[in-house]
Amino acid sequence: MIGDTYDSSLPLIAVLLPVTAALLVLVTGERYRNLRDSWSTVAAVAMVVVVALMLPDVLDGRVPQTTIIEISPGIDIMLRADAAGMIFALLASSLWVFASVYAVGYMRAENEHKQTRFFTAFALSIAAAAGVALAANLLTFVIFYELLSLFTYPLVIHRETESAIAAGRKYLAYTLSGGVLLIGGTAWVHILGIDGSFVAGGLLAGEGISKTTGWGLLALLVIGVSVKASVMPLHGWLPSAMVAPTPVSALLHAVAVVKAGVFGMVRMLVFVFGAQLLRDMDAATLIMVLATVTLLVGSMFALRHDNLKRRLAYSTISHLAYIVLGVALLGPIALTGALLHIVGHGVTKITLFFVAGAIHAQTHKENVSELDGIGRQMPITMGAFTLASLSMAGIPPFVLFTSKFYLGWGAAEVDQQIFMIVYLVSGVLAAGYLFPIVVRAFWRSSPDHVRYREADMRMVVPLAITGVLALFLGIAPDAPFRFFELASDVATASFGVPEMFAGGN
Amino acid sequence: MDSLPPVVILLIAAAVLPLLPSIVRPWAFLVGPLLAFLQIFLTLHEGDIAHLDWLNLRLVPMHVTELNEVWATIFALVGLLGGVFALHVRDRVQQGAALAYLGSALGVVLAGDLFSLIVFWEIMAVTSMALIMNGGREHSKAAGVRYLFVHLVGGSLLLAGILWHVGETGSFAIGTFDESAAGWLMFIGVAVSAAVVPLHAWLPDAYPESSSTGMVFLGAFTTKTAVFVMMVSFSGWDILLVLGPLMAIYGAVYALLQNDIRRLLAYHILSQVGFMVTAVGVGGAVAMEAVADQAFTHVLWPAVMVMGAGAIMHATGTTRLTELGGLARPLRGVLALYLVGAISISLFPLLAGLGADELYSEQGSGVDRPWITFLLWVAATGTILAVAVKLPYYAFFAKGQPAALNKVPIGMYVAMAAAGALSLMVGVAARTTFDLLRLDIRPHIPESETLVVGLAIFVFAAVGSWLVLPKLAPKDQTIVDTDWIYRNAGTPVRRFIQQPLEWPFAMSARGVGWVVRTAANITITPDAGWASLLVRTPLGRRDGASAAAGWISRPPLGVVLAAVFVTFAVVLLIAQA
Repeated sequence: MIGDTYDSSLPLIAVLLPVTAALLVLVTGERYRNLRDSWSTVAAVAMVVVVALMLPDVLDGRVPQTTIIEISPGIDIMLRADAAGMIFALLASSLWVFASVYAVGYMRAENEHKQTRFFTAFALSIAAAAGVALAANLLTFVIFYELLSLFTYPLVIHRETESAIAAGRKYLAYTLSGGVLLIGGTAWVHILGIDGSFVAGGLLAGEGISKTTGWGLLALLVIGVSVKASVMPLHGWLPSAMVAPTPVSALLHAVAVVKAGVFGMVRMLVFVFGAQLLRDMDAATLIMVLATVTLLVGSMFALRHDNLKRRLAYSTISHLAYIVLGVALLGPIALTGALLHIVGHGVTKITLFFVAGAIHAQTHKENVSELDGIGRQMPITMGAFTLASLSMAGIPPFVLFTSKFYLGWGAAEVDQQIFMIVYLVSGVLAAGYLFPIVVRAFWRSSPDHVRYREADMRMVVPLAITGVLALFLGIAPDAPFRFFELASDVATASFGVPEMFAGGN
Repeated sequence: MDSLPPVVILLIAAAVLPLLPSIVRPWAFLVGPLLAFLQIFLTLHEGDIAHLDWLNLRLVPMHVTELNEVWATIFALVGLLGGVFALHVRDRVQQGAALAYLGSALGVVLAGDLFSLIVFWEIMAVTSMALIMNGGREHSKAAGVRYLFVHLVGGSLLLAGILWHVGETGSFAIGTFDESAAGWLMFIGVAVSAAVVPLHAWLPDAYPESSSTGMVFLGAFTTKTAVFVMMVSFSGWDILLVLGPLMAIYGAVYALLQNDIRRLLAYHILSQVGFMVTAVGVGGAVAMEAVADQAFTHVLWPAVMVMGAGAIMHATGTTRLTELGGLARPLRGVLALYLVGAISISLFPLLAGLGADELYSEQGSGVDRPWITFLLWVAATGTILAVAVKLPYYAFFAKGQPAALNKVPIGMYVAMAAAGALSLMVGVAARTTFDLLRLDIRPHIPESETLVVGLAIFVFAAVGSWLVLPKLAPKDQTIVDTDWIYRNAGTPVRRFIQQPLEWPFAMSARGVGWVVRTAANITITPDAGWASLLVRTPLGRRDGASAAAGWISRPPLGVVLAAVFVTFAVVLLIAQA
């Protein structure tokens, strides 16, 4: 059910824009740093425009695609902006706008070295993420997925301290190992003589896959994406990668990289295997159980960590599992919720990381226990943090309530009430690891006599906007980028119309 | 025809209010509840409805019925009175939160579908928490956090029930629910907010920690909203006939034991909600009328007393009976107005009736449970002793040397007088009051037989109180309640739930880490990598001087890699052309 496709260069342009930005950054260099730092923002805005240009057609069911190289008949590197890919591409590009501005403020405030390398790698990582989003088939997906690991590596080791390099090594080892499994799985699919193009409902559906082959492919492909989706126990790299500068943690390790993982999970479970095959194999339950445990244990780890960025990293692990669980439920409403959660969590978590970075830039504090009274000194920053915390805890009408509502409803719809309760328990746990920070910041008095001020405007404005977006998208997820409509299109294409809407509307 | 739900105006007002200068803010606050009241009074009628197409849902954010009209009216009125009571307050957080709290309470009772209901329900929890956090008392912050978490759990249970129900039936309509798994989840969620024993401990824990003005709002909205939802969805559930009387007695007994006047009133509120819960358990049309009447009285009477306690707290700076006394002269206005509320509540069995047996006989259900009636009479007696005897006697008349008193603001007197007048009016002439407020429902008027018993109780308690007065003397003590459990649950939960759950995952993550690290080492430096399997070396660790570490720590690797892949991209482009 691909719908109509037509050739267009827009998907390719969307991927090439950040590549161009990377080149310009590299050429401009440190000497003209204001010019250099504006390239990213310009490219980000252009990229949003390009992706948004494809939106009307995609909503009408006409999907633009670009064939980059035809390796041999039936095996090609191809980009296609289907509804699912559009969600991820829109999210990554629009958040890059904010992150590109924020990164300039942050990198300068922290006096980071080698900023040219940093911004180059940053832009290339976005290009890779866009490639992951718009990949039309397994091969393209794997290529961009691997590139994403490589491009983000220099960002993880950016500080070049011993711990940064150790973390970078761990990062590469994990993500590349996952990539190897993906390559293996992709090769296997092609060896079976199956076209690797993603199909809503599963490209393996109706191919007569035996149960053993199915499990073998599942092991390779799903474990491959599970590394970046940081499903326990494959999550070890994510907390370590928090040594990277905060803009990296914010955009890449809360949005682009990990969402490439969960988006990959959507691609694998829904577009490669499909509901029927997974049900025949009894595979969904295993994924659901792993996701559930990740969800709960991730929250518990988050409760324990005093380091703010680590706490947020474990929170990310927990929320990624929301999405994985939602996909594995294999129901239309749950999938709608899961895709919405990708967007909602992206907007929310990037705000939290932005705040962590702004606090660090101003105060050099990185532990929760040091944040007493910070809210009175940095009211806008901590106000945004409060909005994002309410969203993370799933309080209405914030965006993560909306997605949690659909996820829980989807679980109940397919008679998996136990997982619905897991979602709700996790909401309370999220309140448990975030609200105490808000309480400290606003309702305790600061112990030291230094009066800190708000950070640089280039940090405060982006985080304020994304904080408000976490509220706005909860009320109107369809404005302006039609995230909900896209998500329910994907869900309907994959699993059919939800039962309760089948009759009436 | 679609009407605008009052909650919309109030939430917008709540967002704007904190931005106004502090001089106008208290007066601007009044505009919110006033507009809401006028809208409900003038424009909303039974059957009015608001539709909203939101995502793929067809929502009904408001559906006015003859029942929820009563709740909405009294909420708006108390919001207005509370605003007058708080005219001296300058705290923008409390003002904004109170307005949003009122708005979302109106949202819940007027909601026409389960989705709207849970949305406003959760907003209520968060906004009311802010009122407690900014209470300015010694334990306000800790109590506020505990309050929020209890309500988040309660809200989650309600949401779980709703989702379960919707998943099964595909319908978001609010109706009566049966005792299925979904029904029970919703019921427990609502019971938390109604402070049904034993899920009640948050109420006496948190309310006394709010500010002198905050408790006026808190005491009026949360529990009564929950009772409303119970009445619509769980009326006639048998368990309520056990829990309701239990609450009434439990609250009355604990109220008698308290030293803190506001904690005493908190338990009193609990006890009064018990009466309403019992009536909801009886079910049927007559009981609904009784509950509608009680919605008025049980909001107004406690409001008068809570305002009185707030005035005492404002004037003296303390709320402990052992530190109070001798206030009858300096605070005679407060005393007089407090007694209006206290005596009204003492006459409550007389005025509002609620003999459960009476409701039963009209139900004609044939079930006879006289012990329910008996327990309610006992609770009524306890109530009289606590709020009409113990509190006023030891706060106002007992020996004591009042220190320098703060002046009680005029707004407090005005609000108390207005609330007192309204509560007397509804007590004496319920039907007339309801007609005046254009409410369609007929409040329940007790029969003569009930009146006699009510009078007997009042006389008995009034006479008996002189005998037991010495026994009621306040002691400076803290009495353990069920919140002990969650206050002390931290360590056992960590030890017996969290750690056992975490341990296997921490271990397996280390295992995966080892596999990945070894695999990486073998690919990068095969001989050293394989050797690490045989000999325990610190290979690949941070402190290890291994070849692998050397390979990776050679910056600037990033730029080189970037160049390679940019070239790759260019090649791809050319290849395509």
